[in-house]
Amino acid sequence: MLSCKDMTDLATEYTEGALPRWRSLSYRMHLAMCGHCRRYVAQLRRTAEALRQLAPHPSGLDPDTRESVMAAFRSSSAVLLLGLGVASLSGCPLGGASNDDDDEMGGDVETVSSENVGDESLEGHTPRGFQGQGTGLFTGDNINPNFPDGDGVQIFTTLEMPAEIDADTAVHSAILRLPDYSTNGSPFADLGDLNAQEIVFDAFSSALWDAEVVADGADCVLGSEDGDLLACDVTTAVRNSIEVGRDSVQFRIRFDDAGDSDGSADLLVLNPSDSNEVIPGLVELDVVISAE
Amino acid sequence: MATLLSPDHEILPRLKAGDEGAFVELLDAWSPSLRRLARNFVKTEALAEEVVQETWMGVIKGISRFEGRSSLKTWVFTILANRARTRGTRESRSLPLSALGDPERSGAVDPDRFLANGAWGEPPFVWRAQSAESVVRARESLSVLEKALAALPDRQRRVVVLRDVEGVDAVDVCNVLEISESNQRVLLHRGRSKLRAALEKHYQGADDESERSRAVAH
Repeated sequence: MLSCKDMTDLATEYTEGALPRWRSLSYRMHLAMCGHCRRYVAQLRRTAEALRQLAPHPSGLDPDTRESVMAAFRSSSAVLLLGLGVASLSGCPLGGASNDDDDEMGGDVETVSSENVGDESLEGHTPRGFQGQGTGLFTGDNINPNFPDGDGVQIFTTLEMPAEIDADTAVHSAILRLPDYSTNGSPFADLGDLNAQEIVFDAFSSALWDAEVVADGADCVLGSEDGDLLACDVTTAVRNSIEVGRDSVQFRIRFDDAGDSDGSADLLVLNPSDSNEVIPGLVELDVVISAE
Repeated sequence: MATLLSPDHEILPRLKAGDEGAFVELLDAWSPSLRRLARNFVKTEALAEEVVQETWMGVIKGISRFEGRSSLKTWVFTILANRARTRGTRESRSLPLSALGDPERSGAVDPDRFLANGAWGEPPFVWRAQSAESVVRARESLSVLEKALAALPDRQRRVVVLRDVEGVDAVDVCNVLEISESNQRVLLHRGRSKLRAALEKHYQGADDESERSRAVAH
């Protein structure tokens, strides 16, 4: 027979179901007979229940820390999908010695951003056959039968360097993102790699079609459906621009192959407007830099 | 504290695909819990926050390799426990030897409250306060609980926080803290017993007080 003292010592084993069957049975028998022990076990249970009511820590992370974690996530997710090693982007500040800690992003970093602004900052044209669907389109196969090989369209965009960046800023990573694109119901495929190449220009002109590339095409990640991540690793281009003291960075974004000749239209819409008017914020640039 | 969050099978693919919304959901839902748990390993709030930050960095780094053998939450908590242990050990090198001892009493209840035959001499007090004036009392008793929790020995507190505050399964607690099941049960029992005793003392004091005020009013 279990004593009341035994009952208190075994209470958690009982509630956790860890007592052997015969012991559990005699535990229950004692409980049935002893109001004090029933009260004890009930209070223990109520204590555990009350613990669930404790308020969570008021501040999980302070805003700066949260932002640096978010920055790390953004760059690593883009980098992961780009098929590059995390270390190659999220590593030490430029020129710095390697860090002993295996979490290189654990240092103080911050994300600074900019987006395309103004009428001159994003140029493209509507591919033939897609008139009326806006500007800033990529296309492969064309729905216009006069262009059986497809009609390549490129985007030219200018992004101001975020104000926080100066000549001494260490850039961990730079990601160009196209957050609000749509395929207008015409999924694109087989267009080869999507590239964001750094070029330099004063104003948009058709001559830019073959403009010399400053920094080699950085691979982009392209989702297969609307809303998937569409991001380009432009770290090299941003570092280049900082190095030569430019206050903006410019890109030509295009697919390697305009037409895939699979017989269906491929379309990527950046600007849903029906005119050629450019909407600011279609292209974003996130740069992860070492915090001051 | 219960947090509403998408189930693993929904959020995990999104996380692996780099879905920022999914990550934000996780970050905001679990950071407070992680911070509370971290605080059980390290001495200062600042260090606890660092540990939580390191944990998320570890999650970001490891998410593509996470295969879902444990729940996502258990995996994240395990990363935290590992980071925190490293930090905790690093920190505790400067602790005096006396601080390393764990002067735990073995019984769940003060042995003086039992008769020689092990039957109750001084049985558990009735917690009347639960029903009367419950709103104010509940808040008070939660703060009593919070203090008593803080006063528990580290190992007991970690188990109680994971099991009772965070609602993590026994098996997962064992994995996160790298302890055996029986060890987990013993630590949980000792922790809960002390917290029950603290509540009992609180309610008893409160009842004595209201008895006294009633007596004065008469």
